[in-house]
Amino acid sequence: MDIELITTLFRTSIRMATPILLASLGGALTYHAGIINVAMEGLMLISAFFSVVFSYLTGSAFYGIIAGVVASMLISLLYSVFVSFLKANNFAIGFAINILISSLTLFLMRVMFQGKNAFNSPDIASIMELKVKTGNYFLDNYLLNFSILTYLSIAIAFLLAYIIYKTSFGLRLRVCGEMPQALTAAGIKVGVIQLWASILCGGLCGLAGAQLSLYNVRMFSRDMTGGRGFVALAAILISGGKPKRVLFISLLFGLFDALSVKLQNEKIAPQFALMLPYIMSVVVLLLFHLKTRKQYGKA
Amino acid sequence: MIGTRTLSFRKLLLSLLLVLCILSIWALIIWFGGESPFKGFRYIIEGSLGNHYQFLSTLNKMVPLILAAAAVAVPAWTGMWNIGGEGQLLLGAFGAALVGFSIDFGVGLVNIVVALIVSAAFGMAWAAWPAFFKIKLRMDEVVTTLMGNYIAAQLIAYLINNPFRDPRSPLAQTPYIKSSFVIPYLFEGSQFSATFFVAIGMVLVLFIFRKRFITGYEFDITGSNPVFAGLSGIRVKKTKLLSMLIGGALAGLAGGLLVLGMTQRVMQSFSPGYGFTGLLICLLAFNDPLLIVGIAFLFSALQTGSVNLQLFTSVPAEISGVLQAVMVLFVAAFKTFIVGRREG
Amino acid sequence: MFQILVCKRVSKTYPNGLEALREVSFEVRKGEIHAIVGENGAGKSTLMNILFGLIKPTSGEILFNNNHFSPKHPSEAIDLGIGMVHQHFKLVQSITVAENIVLGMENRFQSKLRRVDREAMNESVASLIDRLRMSISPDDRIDSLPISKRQQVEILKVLYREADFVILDEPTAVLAPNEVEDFLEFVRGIREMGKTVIFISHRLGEVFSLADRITILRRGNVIGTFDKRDVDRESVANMMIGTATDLSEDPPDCLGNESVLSVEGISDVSGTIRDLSFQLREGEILGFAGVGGNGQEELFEALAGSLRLVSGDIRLVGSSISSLDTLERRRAGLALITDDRMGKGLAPDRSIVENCMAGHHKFGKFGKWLIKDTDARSFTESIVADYDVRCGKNIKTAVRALSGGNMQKLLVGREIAYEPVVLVAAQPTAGVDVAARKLIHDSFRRLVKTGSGVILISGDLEEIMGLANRIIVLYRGRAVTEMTHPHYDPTEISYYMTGIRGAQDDRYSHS
Repeated sequence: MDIELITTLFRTSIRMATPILLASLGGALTYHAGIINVAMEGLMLISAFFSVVFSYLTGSAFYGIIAGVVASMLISLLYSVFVSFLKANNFAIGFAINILISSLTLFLMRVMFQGKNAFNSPDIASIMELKVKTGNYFLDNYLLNFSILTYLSIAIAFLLAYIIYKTSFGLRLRVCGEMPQALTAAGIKVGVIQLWASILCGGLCGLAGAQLSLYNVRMFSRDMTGGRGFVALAAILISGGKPKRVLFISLLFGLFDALSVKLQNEKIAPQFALMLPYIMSVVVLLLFHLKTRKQYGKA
Repeated sequence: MIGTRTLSFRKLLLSLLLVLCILSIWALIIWFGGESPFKGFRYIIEGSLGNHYQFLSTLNKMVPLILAAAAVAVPAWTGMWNIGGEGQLLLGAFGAALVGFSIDFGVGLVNIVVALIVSAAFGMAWAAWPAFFKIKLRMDEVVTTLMGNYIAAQLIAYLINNPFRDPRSPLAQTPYIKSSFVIPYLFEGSQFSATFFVAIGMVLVLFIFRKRFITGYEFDITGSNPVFAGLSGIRVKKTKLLSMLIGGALAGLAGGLLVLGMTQRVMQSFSPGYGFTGLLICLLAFNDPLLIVGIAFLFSALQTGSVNLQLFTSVPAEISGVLQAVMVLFVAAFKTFIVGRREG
Repeated sequence: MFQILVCKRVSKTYPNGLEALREVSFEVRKGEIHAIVGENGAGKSTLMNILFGLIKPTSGEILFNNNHFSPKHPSEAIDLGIGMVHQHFKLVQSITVAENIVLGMENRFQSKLRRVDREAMNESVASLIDRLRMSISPDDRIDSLPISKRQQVEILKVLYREADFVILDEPTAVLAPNEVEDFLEFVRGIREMGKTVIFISHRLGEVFSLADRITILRRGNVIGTFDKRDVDRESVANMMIGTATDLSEDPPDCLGNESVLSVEGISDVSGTIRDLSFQLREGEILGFAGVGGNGQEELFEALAGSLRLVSGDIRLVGSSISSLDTLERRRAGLALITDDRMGKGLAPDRSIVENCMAGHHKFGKFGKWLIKDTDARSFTESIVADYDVRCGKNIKTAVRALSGGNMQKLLVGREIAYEPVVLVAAQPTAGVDVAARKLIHDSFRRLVKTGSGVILISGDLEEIMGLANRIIVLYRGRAVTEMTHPHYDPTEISYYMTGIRGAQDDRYSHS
């Protein structure tokens, strides 16, 4: 096989995997806290929007990311208040938030930029890459020159593994999901733990959205997250919320995204290429369930 | 019984407060869109209810919304989440179009009934695989039905671009259905048709099914406590599967009615998100069929009204989606205060 | 003597109108073991939840250590030195003993980089375990421990927090008879440490052996607080229930000859029940005794048809039902009273009518397609009347609003309404007041008179000995012994229940 082809595929995979990884790491936190987070789609979308807006207005990708993260955290906070304190159904609120953000971003885009379905401008600053040219082909293409958020996301994966399994917060987080009454009995407010998990999740989904709109495409378009929040959810369900497994599964999903991009230039109908990531996430989930069923015997 | 009276008085007060809250946040959003709230509300009300034509248009827009909401509600009765209404609706629309441009039985009513049955069957088929995976492998149906939407969208895009593309049209779309399949408009100058009564009829059927039929009772018990249902001899998996299939069929029917009653073909961006609006409606209606009609009317009025708003002001019509979703969140928040949280 | 806790006219009315406590007043002295007794629904749980800050009282005042006391959250109660051991374990299965005990305070063991120092944590727990001369390792995962050890962990949790005021909510319900004495001794030890104990129990024997003073609750009212020496079991029971009750029962006497149910060598996939065989005759009540977790649930599920068997056969009146599902088994004449009424036996959010109809609707009692409302109503009303289900005459009430005893009577009534050939009843009177218990027992007696058989799976030895014609003891999924009325010996049975006898072939036995 062509080495250039493999290199492109690898780099695209990493690029596409980064937002999925960031979002599913965030969702893993709420998963451990006992909330199946279906609002990640909306969190990524709101961040993608505000990242673009602020990057455009300030000319700085950094401020763009900050704005995206803050917006995502605020919405996540709202989600958490509903789910943890008002005891509303997390699916119902999650989807209400997703739909709200889908129409809100569209509404704001029309009001602020008179754009139709997308907003782009050369003034939108892109996220920096770790630009180093060593001259070594492998190093330059396989280890260096990715978005700084890519490196950050991998570091976060290991950091979360430490937090969840080694620290006091992690212990409380896991108990929160497995047996919240035990936390209450120990005098710890379940809602507070879930609130923190949600805020952190919001932050990570915010980074994911920023990576999407300030690096992967550098524009905002209607519903541009395209179900990635749910691909991330599939990754969490498959990995059981274990950060290192999440890392692996996200890379796999990134690969399918990359293949999709690659295949669109080939002879087959582009619709099938576009379908691929969604079909594959269902297939991987299916394989996972077939495997666990074999392990535990038929129920 | 002073206790209960003060309690219901409190409920009334809270409900009024809720309406006030929603109206003021709506006003704020309209103001942000660049129009004075009072004018904005006037344009919305005039645009949806102002005259005979606009009122019919509002009623007509309710058809897919009612059915898409019912497609979420029926599975919800047994505890299943059908987020795949959008995809099921697309498949249903394609099924109706496929019958409509390729077959002819000679009798208009037979044609229409067959096309609608096929649309329901297509929608049902698209709900079948997530339901099957759920009951066989406990695969999360939220993820699978949602992924199904994206897959269906691409699948339909492929079908109308390639094998079933209308050769005479410059656009990617199926051929028009034969005239004997068209459900005719009932009034001059309006797209309002008998499809509205089909949707209302379906809701009534569902209402009676849930309240009066043994199977409807089993749906409710299964949703309320599946373990108990199983121990009572209800076949829980079958019941869940059935509810999901009915849900898919309802969404498919929505697509079929849209094709036969309005668009007469399936084209690119056929659905502006009926499935998700249906989900919102269902959430607001707490899965109740009769409430769905009421909420669907409100949502439909917001949509037609917002188009009018855009016509006369700088406020984009997309505002309707924001207004709808905000309402769902407010109602969800207030619900805990009105109904009361469980203690203990 | 110093009154550590004073309740003054405390009332609690729930939003659904249920009056759980009515101007309850009583005092607890420092350093005593104070028993609170009452039927289910008498308000004990509500009272304890108020003391622990889980529920707010509607009115009244509480003084704790002479200070006004109204905790808004359990953490406030804990800070004041109140510890509560719940009826249902609140232990986290997948983490260790030490983590469970220390949970909430584990941040004290955080070393650099916020890592929890496992060794320091285990050590601090081990020192407490040693002081109480218990044999638990801090590093064991909870899911690897037997029930009685879990109970101890639950109490260690409270003591670790240096609670001075310990509330024990029906702690002996899950223990085997021979474990109870040890446990009571352990509680006396806690008193000797100078701590005050509130002990909630249905079992008057234990109460009299342990408590210094007894407060009696009946339907939300305090009947009185008595020194143990001033009252006896019978008078306390009378004050609890309000009428004189006969505490001793004898099994019914209507044994037939035909076998209605025969179970031949059944085992399940996980090996929780192993090679179980027995016969049930018409008119017989067959009791299964055992400590919780020795295969009772699996036996129930095997009979109900929700557990996959790897071997053996179940025959109902001669024909095999092993391959039938729950519905087909019910059609063949089986009725099932589950031990988990809220989780499996009822749909708590649904009305009484809907709960009564469930299952019966499969027999065409209310129509084949359309529900005949009048039939459903009259059917429900007859169950509500026959079983004295107190619901304020409103059968549209959600089941959740009923008290535990009334829920159980509803459940029992519904199952007996099948007129089953065989009734399988698991813990039919667990957590139920004495009056309801008697009503349920009487309904079993009436049922067997018609020639039906009853399988009675129960952890309550008194119940089994008073009701069953024959007792099989389950230990680690096997039938270890069988006894026939009137040759019952509770001490002997408890030896079998705990594996001291009859488990010689078991690799776990220590003899």
